Amino acid sequence: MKRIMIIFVSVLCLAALTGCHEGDLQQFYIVTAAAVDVEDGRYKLTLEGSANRLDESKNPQPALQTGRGETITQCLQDIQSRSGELPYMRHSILIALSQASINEVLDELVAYIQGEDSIRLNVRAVMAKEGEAAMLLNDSEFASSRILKSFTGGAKRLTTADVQLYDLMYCLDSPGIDGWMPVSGQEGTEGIALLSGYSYGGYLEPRLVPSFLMMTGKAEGGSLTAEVGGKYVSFSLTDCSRRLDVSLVNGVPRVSVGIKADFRLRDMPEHTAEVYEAALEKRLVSEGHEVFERLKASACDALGAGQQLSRLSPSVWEQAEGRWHELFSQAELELDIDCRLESRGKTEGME
Amino acid sequence: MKLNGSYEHDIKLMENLTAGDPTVKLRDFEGRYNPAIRCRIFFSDGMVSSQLLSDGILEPIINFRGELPRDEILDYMALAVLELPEVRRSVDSGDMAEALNYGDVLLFADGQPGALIIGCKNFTYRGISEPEEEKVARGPREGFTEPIMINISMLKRRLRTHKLRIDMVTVGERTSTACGVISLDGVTDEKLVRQVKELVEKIEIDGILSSNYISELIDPAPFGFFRRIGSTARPDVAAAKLLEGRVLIMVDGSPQVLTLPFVFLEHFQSPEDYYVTWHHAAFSRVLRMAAFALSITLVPVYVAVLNYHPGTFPTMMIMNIVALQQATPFSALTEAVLLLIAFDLLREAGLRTPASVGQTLSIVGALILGQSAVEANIVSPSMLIVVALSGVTGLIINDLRNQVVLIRFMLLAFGAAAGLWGIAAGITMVLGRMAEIGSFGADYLTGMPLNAQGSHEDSLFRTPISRMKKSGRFMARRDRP
Repeated sequence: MKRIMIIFVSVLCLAALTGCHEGDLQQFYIVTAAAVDVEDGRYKLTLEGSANRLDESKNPQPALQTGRGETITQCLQDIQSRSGELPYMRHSILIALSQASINEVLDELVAYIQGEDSIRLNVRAVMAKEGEAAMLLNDSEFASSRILKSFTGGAKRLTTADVQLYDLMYCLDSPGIDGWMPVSGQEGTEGIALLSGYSYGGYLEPRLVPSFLMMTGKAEGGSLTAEVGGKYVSFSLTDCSRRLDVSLVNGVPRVSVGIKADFRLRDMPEHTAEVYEAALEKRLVSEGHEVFERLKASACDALGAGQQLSRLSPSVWEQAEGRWHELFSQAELELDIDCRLESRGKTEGME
Repeated sequence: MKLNGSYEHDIKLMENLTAGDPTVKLRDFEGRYNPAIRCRIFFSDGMVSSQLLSDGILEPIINFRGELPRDEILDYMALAVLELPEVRRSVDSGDMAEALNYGDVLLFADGQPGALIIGCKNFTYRGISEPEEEKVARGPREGFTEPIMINISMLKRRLRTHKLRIDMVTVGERTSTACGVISLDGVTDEKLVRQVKELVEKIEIDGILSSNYISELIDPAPFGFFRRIGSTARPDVAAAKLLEGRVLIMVDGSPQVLTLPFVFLEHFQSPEDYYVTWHHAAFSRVLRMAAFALSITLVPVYVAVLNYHPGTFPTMMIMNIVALQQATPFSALTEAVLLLIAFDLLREAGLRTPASVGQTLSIVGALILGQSAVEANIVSPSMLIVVALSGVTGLIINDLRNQVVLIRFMLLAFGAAAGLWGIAAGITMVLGRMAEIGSFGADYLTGMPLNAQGSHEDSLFRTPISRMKKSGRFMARRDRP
């Protein structure tokens, strides 16, 4: 009797523990990317996935499916009822949003993702430069793969950001820091979209992306050019660290950003290291201020100045928290950039 | 039945006993120089050496010139006339009938009750060859054969010690099969030897035709899933088992010698391990264990992951799998079951067919059937690869193939019902059962990690021989210094 009871309880536990069998594999529609648009106040969800057939070289073919509804769940049900296939989201690598969908449904979308375990949090988020996000996925190949490669590679070249879903959700959920995401068009990645809370704040063109990444501490490496002696010289960023200090002086945030960056010269040296370092610093200081002005205008604290204030002076932050975006729009920047050239090749006095 | 002493009565009784056996021959003869000597011999045609019969029995008696005491004629013949080494007197007709069937000659003589049983055997048996299932690339090529005495002689050649103990027991009401319980004094646990001997002696059965009969009859859990008694057909392995402190049971007519206690780890040991360098042996043993693990889990895990955790596959791979799966009519589970059954059918067919047909069968089965099934979209190629890999790895441990098939199906059922959780539960159950059971005083998991019993010099890995110099290191004599 005891043995029967043990077997019975074990089987019951197993049945209860499992609970993740969503259907037969043959009905699965493996989704690789999702584009969320808003159409007449309703969601329009476009999924890119496998057409479940192989081409002549035995590679899977992409297929787009679109569903509409009041919620994401309704959209998925719409797709399922029309195609008879079960969208399987665990292999998604990209979520594309239009500007309108960011403004109207980003909060709902984040709430849906937080309550849904079928979407991995390392999915990349991207904003469509113009028009519908679904347009990004309209391709004969897997567009998601192409887009993903463009901004993961771009992040390494300092030309764009690589934002994973958990980064974005962290910024959206945490007080004192705002999110951003890369902007993608048909041509590839094009700058960064700045968010103010759950809304679209503004746009940062590609020219300012290197400085932005260095100011946010997200620069990993890549190339940068600076004008030296009337010529544009190319440098490689080898190391970059950022220091952030924030204080509230007379009700105005004073944001102090210190950047230490190591570069390597790509061309043959024609000047001393100091000349190159000065040129780099000049560019970064100029662009850094421009970036900061753009952040202020967008009410997007992408630097995490508010968060830093809350850590350094919690009592001050308590008073500022409710109107942080307003205060940040008046913030003053103190930018200290220290560029160092490695392997300089020439020393002072050689000119 | 006892013979009553009258020559006529005794030979009449023997004639009646052997009346139904046309192969039993008899011959009456008298002494050429002493006609008072009247004798009759009984022997089985084809089991006796005519040369020995003639030179060792007939010639010395017929040409005997002296006087023989009539009342002790058989004893005197045994002592001074017969020129054969194996002679004993018996008055039991049952004993005589057994001896007759085993190739001995019965000699009745007028004057003394009973008969002499004279060893004169010369029956043909299979020659000594390498056992098919325990072949080695290097090492001895000898294998046990059917007659127990030949097998014992092979063992004795390897263990030239007076401490080799052989207890003969006759088992089987009608077959009277000779069985030998063999141990090594001073190495094997005395209690174990007594226990095994008692178990064999207590067997009540009509016939014993192979050692497997004994194995099943003395198995402490005959309905158990795991084997608790090992077997080998190699004398070198049998000698090694004796040196490790195990008991052997030899059965006349069977080339398989039983070894006990038997533990799980022995499935992964191969005679080859001791004829190659220890590095190679250790690597091979790990490979065998990995093959076993792969064989039982590969198909269940694949089906479980497909059904419950498809997110764990790389994206392109799962897309390919889904696309191929959609082209087939069956679910992943059905495909797996069908292919596993087909593989086992082919394996069984391969075992039962002659070697010349076997090659054709494997080509038809593996190549033509497999390829056609994929091309006809009956099964998906990925499932075919997984099942084939699982099947091939299952064949590496030949000794465990039956358990592998059953465990694989059990885990497949668990995996299909509850995903990886189910497989984890199934493996836990199997391991739990293995940890629970034992074999003649030894834990079934002896030698495995976390098991304190036994030594670990020759367990998961084989260490150099220099670390395994002492006999009885594995078990049994645990009080050994």
